[in-house]
Amino acid sequence: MASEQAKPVPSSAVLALGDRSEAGLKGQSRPGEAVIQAVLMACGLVSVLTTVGIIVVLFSQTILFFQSRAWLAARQPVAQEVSLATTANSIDAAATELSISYSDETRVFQANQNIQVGDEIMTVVDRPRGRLVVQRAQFGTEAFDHPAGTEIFPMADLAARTVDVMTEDDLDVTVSEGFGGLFSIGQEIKLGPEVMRVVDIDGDVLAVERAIDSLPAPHGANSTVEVEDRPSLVEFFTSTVWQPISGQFGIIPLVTATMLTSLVAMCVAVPLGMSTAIYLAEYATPRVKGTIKPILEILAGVPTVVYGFFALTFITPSLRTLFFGDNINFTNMLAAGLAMGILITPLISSMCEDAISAVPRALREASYGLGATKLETTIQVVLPAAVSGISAALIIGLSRAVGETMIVALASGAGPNFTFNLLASAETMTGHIARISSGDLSYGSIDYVSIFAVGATLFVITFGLNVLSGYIASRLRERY
Amino acid sequence: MMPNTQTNPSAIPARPNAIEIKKVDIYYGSYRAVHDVNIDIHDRKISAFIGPSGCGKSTVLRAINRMNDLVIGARLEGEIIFQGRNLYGADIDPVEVRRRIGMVFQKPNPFPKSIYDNVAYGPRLLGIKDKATLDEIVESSLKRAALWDEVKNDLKKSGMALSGGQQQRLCIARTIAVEPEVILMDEPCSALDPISTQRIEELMLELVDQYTIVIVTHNMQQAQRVSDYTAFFSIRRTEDEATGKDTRWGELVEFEQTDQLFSRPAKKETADYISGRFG
Amino acid sequence: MSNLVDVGVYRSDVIRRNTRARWMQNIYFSTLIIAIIVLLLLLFSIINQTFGYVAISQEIKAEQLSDRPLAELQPTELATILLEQTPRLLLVMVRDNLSAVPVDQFTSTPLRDGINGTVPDDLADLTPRDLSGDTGPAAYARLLGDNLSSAQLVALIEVNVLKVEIEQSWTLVESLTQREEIEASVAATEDQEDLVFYSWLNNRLLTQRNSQRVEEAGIGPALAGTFYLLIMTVAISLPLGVGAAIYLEEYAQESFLNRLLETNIRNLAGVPSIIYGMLGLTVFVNTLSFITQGRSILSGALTLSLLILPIIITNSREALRAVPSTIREASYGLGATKWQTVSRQILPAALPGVLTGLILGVSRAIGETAPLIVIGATNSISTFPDSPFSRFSVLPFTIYNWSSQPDAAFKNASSAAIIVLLVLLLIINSAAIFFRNRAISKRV
Ligand SMILES: Nc1ncnc2c1ncn2[C@@H]1O[C@H](COP(=O)(O)OP(=O)(O)OP(=O)(O)O)[C@@H](O)[C@H]1O
Ligand SMILES: [Mg+2]
Repeated sequence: MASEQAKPVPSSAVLALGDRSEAGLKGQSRPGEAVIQAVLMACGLVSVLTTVGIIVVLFSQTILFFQSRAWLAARQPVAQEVSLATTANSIDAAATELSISYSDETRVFQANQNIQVGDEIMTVVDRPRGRLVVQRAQFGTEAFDHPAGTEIFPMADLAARTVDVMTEDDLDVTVSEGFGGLFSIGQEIKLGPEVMRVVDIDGDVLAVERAIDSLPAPHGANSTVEVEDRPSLVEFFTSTVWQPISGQFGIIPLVTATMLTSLVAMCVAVPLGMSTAIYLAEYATPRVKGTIKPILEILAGVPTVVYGFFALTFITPSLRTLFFGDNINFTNMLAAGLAMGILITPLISSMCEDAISAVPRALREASYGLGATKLETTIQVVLPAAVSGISAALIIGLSRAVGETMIVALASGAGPNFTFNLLASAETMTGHIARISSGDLSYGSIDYVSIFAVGATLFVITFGLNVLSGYIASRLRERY
Repeated sequence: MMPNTQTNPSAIPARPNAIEIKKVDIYYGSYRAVHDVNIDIHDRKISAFIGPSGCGKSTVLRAINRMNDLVIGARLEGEIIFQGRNLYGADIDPVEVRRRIGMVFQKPNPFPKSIYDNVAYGPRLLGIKDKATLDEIVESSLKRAALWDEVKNDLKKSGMALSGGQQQRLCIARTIAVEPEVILMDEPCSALDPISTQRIEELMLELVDQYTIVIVTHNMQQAQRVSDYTAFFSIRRTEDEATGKDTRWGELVEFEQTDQLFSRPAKKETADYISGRFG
Repeated sequence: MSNLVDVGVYRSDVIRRNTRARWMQNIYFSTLIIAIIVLLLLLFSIINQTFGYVAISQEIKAEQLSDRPLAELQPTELATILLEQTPRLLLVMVRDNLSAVPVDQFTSTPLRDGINGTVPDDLADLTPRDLSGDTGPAAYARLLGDNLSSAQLVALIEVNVLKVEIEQSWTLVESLTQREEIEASVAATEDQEDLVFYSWLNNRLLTQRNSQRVEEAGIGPALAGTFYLLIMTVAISLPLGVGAAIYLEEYAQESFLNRLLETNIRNLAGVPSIIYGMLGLTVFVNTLSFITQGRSILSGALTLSLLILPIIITNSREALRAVPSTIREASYGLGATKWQTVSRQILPAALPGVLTGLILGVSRAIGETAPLIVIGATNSISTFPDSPFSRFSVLPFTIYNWSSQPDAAFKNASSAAIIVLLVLLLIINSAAIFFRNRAISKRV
């Protein structure tokens, strides 16, 4: 009946009761019917509009993200005035560990902190008791030998500031001592609301062209000098740091965390889901099926935030007491992945079961008829025959894991962290979007558009997986 | 693990691959599909089962290699004796029974694998891994199934890419590759054209030198052409006066040498059926 | 065990093969057991957190305020206690509990308009600003005594006078197995703490607003927000979904558009829900803010509607397809137009199936948190939603928010909220099963 149109129905229908005089077998126009059809079609189009909307929104905001100019204070590490400790032994240029005077004081240093020892700048990698593990010769300094008792100065990232007051027509900007090297000729800098272009550099004095896109304004001494930081595609896909405050937008840490949690989830869900599916499709009596399927449905229907709670308050503490002790963070990728595995197991098992049940009986009988056991039949005939459906199911499961939000938002960690340690806390793409957007974001700010760049990446990944799954399911279908 | 080969030669039946079906009733759940079937299937002969649709031919055939075990709720009463043992005895393993009593189905059902893998499937299950041995088995099986010449150049081709008749011969090759002693065939030609049918019939006549063959067919000419013995099944009906419930079951009417059954049927029912006056 | 005569080339190792098959069968089966265990663990961990001992400290004992238990006192007597003990806090209590106007207008609105409830005539024309002198506290105490129930007043006294605080909480298992240790540790504390067996799932939780203090925090507005949101979501998605399904099943021809719609619906079902949140944030919250008023229930409902539309469409289509074509033919045969046939014959016949799909969609929507976080559900809202344009909180969002609080006691409150959510889901799914069964029994 789908081929029938809403235009005049078969003529017999027109023979309304009093309408025989004109023998109204002619076609009639029925505006009401046409309007209804149009309205119904519009309902159908809402779903198309949704897709279009998703794509337009994600990608237009992503383009805004890559076009957004963020102005960030030009910073460089500077040694503080008070030393925190002194070296306990002399060290040579090749050593990567410092012993320091008071063992307790390693706690005042932080990982990733820069320190100055003599004329050399080092970066702290780790701070076990009484020692500092460091990377030597950072920021263009050279590695030297240092005698015992050398003072260790912590370094802080300081912003470049102007030294003098500037009037509307001054063409020189003097920046804090030692900061001139941060700038380059042709670069745009910003003081207060005014953008200028550097035309020459002489030590710490920058010659500038004023008022690039606004009126020149006077600036007080000690104003912060900002430089432009425009997120680039290359940085986005290659940098391993995602730190909006310092203008660093590298999506890799978010992607790795997403992949790791999903991987853990798949490690749980694939064996569990497939094995359940095999049992239900090949072995289970109707009664067992009748008990197990509702349980799986319940597991699939539990809101994901509950799984997040479960991961946070049950899985992690259990892992801590049973296996890892203090090595496991209170939020971590392992627990989040395990919970996600439980979440997608029912999905995978029901899709796999459908695929397995679709394998014709005749193939099984052929195998049994040759004297195969049930196991041999299942493994060597049924599963290979159902392989397209099964792989489609696994891909859908993966896509679901990648897009899952609440479990990772609660249990995986709040803060991007580039690590492959499953026991560490690391934020996934979805977790990041959720966390950033739960603060009140101002529309159009770089934080706002940055989550759309993450969202677009997420969409492309999941959409790709879904399309792949559909393709496998339809194209590679066995012709049995 | 040695099989408990019988040491007393006199215990080996004179007709090792004969099958005796004794007082067999088969149920699907509470429904009795066939009742009181007794047949002596002779060694290295072709026996045909004929009868109207639904009379239980497939049911009895599938009972012989315990294929019905796979149907939930299916159950058999009585005995089927093979090589001196009741196939439904407590110590009998259905997997082993099916290896020894192979089956070819109505619709060709090759695995979605290559021709080679289809035939090698059974031998591999039985632990044969050596490539040369497998090659040999595949070749000889395909030859015996009269398919070798047609497929020898593309053994890697999917079994499902063959024609219907070739697929059915592939299924036969697959069955004989595990060296069964009996081959059961359930309407093996019903999905095939006359030429393919003829090839399969010729094949059966060749194979009967080595195998006991039981075939279910709706085609009485076929039964006459290939079989040595024929069993005619029919449907019995009773109506329970009290409840008005109609009970039906299949029953063996007659089992005779084919010539005799078709020329001088002992029962009127048989005569009616073979002369087309059935129903 | 090969009990048949062994002839031919094949060695019989059927025992080994059978053993292997049985082993694997047991392994397959054990995964089912794992599924059951996981479900039990999930329920266990929730219940474990919901009940158990808590150590409560209070600055003043209730006996010091009155010789009778607080629960037996009349509202006016309770109000008097509040007046005596915390005169300065009364204005805030009135504003938080009785105000009918936005917070910033409260002090300048006459009480007649500013208060939700009865106001004595002599106070009706005064504004809180007029009452800022010494007369204020007494007037507020009267308002509280007249308009709040005893239970609400007792709660106020507990929080503001007794300063009841939950110092520590234990899980059910701990409470049952380590009773002595817990008692000893409580006895060893300096403050006078009472050990009470506490159910976090209680009346206060269900009715009160959220709060920074776990002793006061409740899910009242969140629960109301959930209901509000669901009703609006249904109102939006049901006509859209069923309309689309009717179009696809009854009207659309095998055409490009039809195929496009179908592929599209399939793909939409696989889009992560948080992406819908981003769509809603941009389109409903920001672009259409002149209609939706920004981060409102309406924006949330529109977003969730888009999210569950694929579910509703798919299920409705199945229901329509299951209507026997004889019904259609009979209707056309009588001269009905297409829409008459659809609306009078096909839709009623497909209704149970459509409702099942709707309920499946709703049970998906009820647990959805991610898109609502993006849309801007918030826990800081302390009022019940009163219009489609209110800002809102929902139950799963509260659960998320509480679970991520550092204060461990919030996890207990969170698990109690989870029980409420699961019970809601159970009710909704039972309804789905009911309709499904009715649909099946009708068809027979
Ligand atoms: N798996 C099953 N479950 C329940 N009943 C069955 C099953 N298989 C067959 N039957 C019933 O058993 C009876 C005999 O069926 P069977 O398939 O053996 O007939 P048949 O003689 O082979 O018929 P046909 O010539 O049509 O193949 C029929 O009434 C059938 O309905
Ligand atoms: Mg049959």
